[in-house]
Amino acid sequence: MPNRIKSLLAFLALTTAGCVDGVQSTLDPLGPVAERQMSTFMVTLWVSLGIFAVVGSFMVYCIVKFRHEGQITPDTPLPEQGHGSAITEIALILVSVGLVGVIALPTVTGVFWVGTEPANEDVMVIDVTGQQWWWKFDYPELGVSTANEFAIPAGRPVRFNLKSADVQHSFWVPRLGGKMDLLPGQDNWLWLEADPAMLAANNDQLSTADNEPGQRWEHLPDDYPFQGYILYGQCAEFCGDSHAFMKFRVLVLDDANFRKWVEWQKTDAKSTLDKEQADAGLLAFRQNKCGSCHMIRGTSASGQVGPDLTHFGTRTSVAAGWLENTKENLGHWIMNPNEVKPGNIMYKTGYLQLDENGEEVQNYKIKLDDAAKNTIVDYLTSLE
Amino acid sequence: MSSTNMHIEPAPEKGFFDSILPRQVEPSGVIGWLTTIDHKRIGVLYLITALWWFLVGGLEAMMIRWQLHKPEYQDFISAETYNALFTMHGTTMIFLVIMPLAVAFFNYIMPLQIGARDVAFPRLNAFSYWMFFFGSVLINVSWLFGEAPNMTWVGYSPLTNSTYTPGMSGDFWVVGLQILGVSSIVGALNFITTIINMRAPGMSFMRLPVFTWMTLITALLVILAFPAITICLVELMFDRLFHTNFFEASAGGLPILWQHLFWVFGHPEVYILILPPMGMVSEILPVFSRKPLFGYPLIVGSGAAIGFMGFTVWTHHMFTSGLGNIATAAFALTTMAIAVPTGVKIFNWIGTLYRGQLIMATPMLFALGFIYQFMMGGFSGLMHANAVHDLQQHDSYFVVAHFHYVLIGGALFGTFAGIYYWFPAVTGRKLDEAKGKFVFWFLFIGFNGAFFPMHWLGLNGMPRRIYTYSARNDWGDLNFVVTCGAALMAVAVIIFFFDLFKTAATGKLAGRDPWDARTLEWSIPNPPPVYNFKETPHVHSLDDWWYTKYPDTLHHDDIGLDATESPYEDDDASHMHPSDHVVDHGHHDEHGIHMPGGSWFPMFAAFGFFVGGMGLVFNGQFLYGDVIEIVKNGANVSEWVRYDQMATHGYEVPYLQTLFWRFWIAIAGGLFGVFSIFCWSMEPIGGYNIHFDDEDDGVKAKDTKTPPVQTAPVEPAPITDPVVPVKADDKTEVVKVEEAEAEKPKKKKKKKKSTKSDDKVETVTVGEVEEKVLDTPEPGEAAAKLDAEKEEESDDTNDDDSDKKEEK
Repeated sequence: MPNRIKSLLAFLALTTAGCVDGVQSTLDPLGPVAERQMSTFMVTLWVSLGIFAVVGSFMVYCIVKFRHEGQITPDTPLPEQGHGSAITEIALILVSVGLVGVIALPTVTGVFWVGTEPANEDVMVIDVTGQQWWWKFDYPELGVSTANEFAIPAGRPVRFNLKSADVQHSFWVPRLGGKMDLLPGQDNWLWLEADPAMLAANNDQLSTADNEPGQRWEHLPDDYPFQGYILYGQCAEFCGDSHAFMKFRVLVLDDANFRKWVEWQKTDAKSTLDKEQADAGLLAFRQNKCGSCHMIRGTSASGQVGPDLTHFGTRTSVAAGWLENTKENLGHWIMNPNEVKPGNIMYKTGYLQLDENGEEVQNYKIKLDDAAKNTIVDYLTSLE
Repeated sequence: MSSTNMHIEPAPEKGFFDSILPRQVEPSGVIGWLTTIDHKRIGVLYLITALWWFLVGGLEAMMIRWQLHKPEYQDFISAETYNALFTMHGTTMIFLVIMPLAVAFFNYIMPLQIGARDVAFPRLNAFSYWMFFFGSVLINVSWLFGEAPNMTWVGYSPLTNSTYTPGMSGDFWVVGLQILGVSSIVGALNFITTIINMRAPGMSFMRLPVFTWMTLITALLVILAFPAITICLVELMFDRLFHTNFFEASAGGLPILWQHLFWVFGHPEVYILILPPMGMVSEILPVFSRKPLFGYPLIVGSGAAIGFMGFTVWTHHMFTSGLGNIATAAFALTTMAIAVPTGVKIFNWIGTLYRGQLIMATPMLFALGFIYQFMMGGFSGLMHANAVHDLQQHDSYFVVAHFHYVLIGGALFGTFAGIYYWFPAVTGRKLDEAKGKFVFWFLFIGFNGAFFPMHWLGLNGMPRRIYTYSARNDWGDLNFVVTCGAALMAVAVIIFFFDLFKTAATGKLAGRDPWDARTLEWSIPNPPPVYNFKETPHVHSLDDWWYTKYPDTLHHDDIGLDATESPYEDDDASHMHPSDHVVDHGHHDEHGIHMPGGSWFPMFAAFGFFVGGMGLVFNGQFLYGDVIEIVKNGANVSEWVRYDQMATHGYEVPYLQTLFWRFWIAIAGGLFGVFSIFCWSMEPIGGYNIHFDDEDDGVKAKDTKTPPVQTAPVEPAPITDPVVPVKADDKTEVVKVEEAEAEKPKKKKKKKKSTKSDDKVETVTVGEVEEKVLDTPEPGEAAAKLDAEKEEESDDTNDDDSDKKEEK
């Protein structure tokens, strides 16, 4: 039976209850790695269900049939005092070993398949740097650098080189494949691929009508300069206070749109506001020291500490995949970052200061009033 | 002991310390508990302390579940608090609940099962307990300072180094776990020595009860696995306190080293957690099926295999750490291999049920629940072993589902089965059956309702250790179901504690051997007398107590005897199995039974190390100068907690020069601990001798000044336990007891005394006891009859005298 049909059957079996069909589901694959992983899972699942059916029903049988009702009296004879049966034991051990062997074979072949970069194919490379609590994505071959959201072309394998700038993290896009940790001092990597056919087959399940802020977005909004799907990823290794908020998004685009995206990312920043407003926005951005950490290419804001904001306007999220990219959310983020992501670096090194008594004073270094906030928000969201 | 038939004589040896630190002769009151070295009391202390931390860990879990019951919920607690809650929940439940509950039973039950009077090193045993107590206090005192550990119970580096976890939370965790580790290792050494050296005559290894076997294997795992975590904790402590670079990647250290060292400990640790409950279930199923354990040698062998193979699988916790394909595949295979002995155990347990007479009392319900839920946990474990899909499952709620199935569904249910089963052995009272069934069903339904949906959540991509989650993922509905299940579990636990207190205070006495059980701990009165066995029993087979009651059910080939003879009919030493050695332990002579005195020093030593540990945590924050200032000017507690030396002292404190002053508390505490251990090595045994008045051993009864230890009221024995003192020459009363079975043929029973002084063989006529199966809720008639027989002999009994109403 072709793999696709097997997957579909398994998917249907498990999701008729609607339990595993979410946007980060591991059993609703959109790529060959996730599909291979799921198919080995199915082997283990069926073996387990088989053992469960046999052993479980025998156990229920014993409990029901041999249950003693009423009191034990002096007249109640003892049951047959069996000690065991060597034949039964040996047979059961052999069956167990056999079943383990059934699972072992696809496991070993799967480990090597998943853990080997596809040869003979045009593998794209992305360098991922994880840090508390955002993601940096660099395309060394293409000269693109972005943060928290990146694009891949459908149908082409992508190798992710995983580096950590501080503590342990883990890079996980469940619908494309399993995860791999980011550890300082270690060069981990994994490869993933988005399959155009699987994406197309899933099309009817993706919501297209709800592309509103805060709603389920699976497609990029129509007014974006490039079109495609959004997949969701998340850090999966506890990395500190805001681990729950360290998410990211993967844009899966067809070849044409991917080329458009790459060219778009390489350009310098350009605002959709008129020149006066844009200049005011940039001025507020720099005066409040945002530029000392954040880069906006083509301007004097050239910080490398925080996420690159050059094309922030065409990013779908704020604060690393946690909030949707709306003016309201962005305003809340830059006014009260500690309320969104406790302990985040922007707050601790930028906003936080200790006064003479050693007490924390928010916004001591960076004092934003509403006017400055609005100006900055307008400016950043205009950077398409 | 206020019974009229024995008296105590304080032991004459007194030492230097007794003049400064007087010890009680017989333990009494609070001091009796603080200085106890009696394995039974230490077992009770472990149980009470562990049950307290169970409530604390459960409260932490409830808060976690409330936090997660709906998406994007941030109005309840902060993310930092949530991270501390799940860290402490894991650390508490593993180190402060499941392990010490098992140790409580190792302490109380194991020596009784092997026919010993105590463990090999009683004061070391007390030291183990106090280290556990103070370690648990140390790690939880962090809450009071707002510095509860929040880096997960596995504490991966580099998150746990002083850059990313500044302050004291990491130090509390590192120091607390080391103290707990010492407690575990020392206890394990004690149990291994006890089991190897102090078994009753005739108790060969393959006649050990399964629970004792699991004690031995668990203790061996502890002494082999804990050094690994000790190494990584010490290295982390040095990184944090002394700026070494074991895990500092920028200086050439290896963060992944932490993971390897931790999991070399961590995987055997999970077998340490599950083997004792497996042992308990292996005891309970045969008793409540009224037939032997199916395949005893394989149950023991699989336990040993699991223990050994547990050291070959640790890297399956690290499949996503970038090990490379060969290591990943190899550990996937070893992990699958360990499923085989585990499956063997499950098959054997179900085989025990097959063709039995299943009595659905509460211990049996928990044991059956254990089998089902542990099997489910085994399936999800097998799914993890598949390293390919594990890359999806790792660090998701699928893992949380798996380990809670094996740890709650397995270990906790097994431990509850043990509590319900052995409660009468310890207190003489059975827990309430109706409430027990309620507790079981609510716990079973609540637990499965809480943790089965987590399999779906994990497969649906929900990572673990997250404070909240987006509404986009559709995880909210199942999370709500999980929280409801957790609430049901809480109700069950509350009823359980209510029942525990009520029965311990006012429960009806259950009488001897209420479950008609198989092993030696049921052959003595319950609660046991302080000396356990008056005479060390001679063991003739596995499940010796059962075959003493039902000799006709013995398969002779089990003990290598000629088919026509059974040792229970002829206690001639020449018929014993070749492995029976006739060295007597604890046969009392003219000195009576010697009971060792209590000791203050184990507690003092543990307290010293506790203070030392606190000194390590509070290093640099309580400088000597601060003490002077506080004494002079007073200070708020919150002001003591500063780890910024510049802010605290207004000056940069040079590092090496102040090493002593930063750690003076640690040094003082450690020295006090070591000094206490030195004192206990010099301390004489003290204690007292027990003389039985019916024996002429040349020591007259003396009035004892100390009041009787046991304050439990003496309740009259139920009518069905007619223990009638029978004179040696009066056989008619024996016949009276047997009147009801007049129809049954009688067998001749010969008993030979084991004292050298008397070679006379007495013949006692007894009724056939095989058919006299007990009512489960009624006290042990068979046991009572055996006691009646034994009263025939005016001296030298092989078992304890139940007609003498001894109180505990």
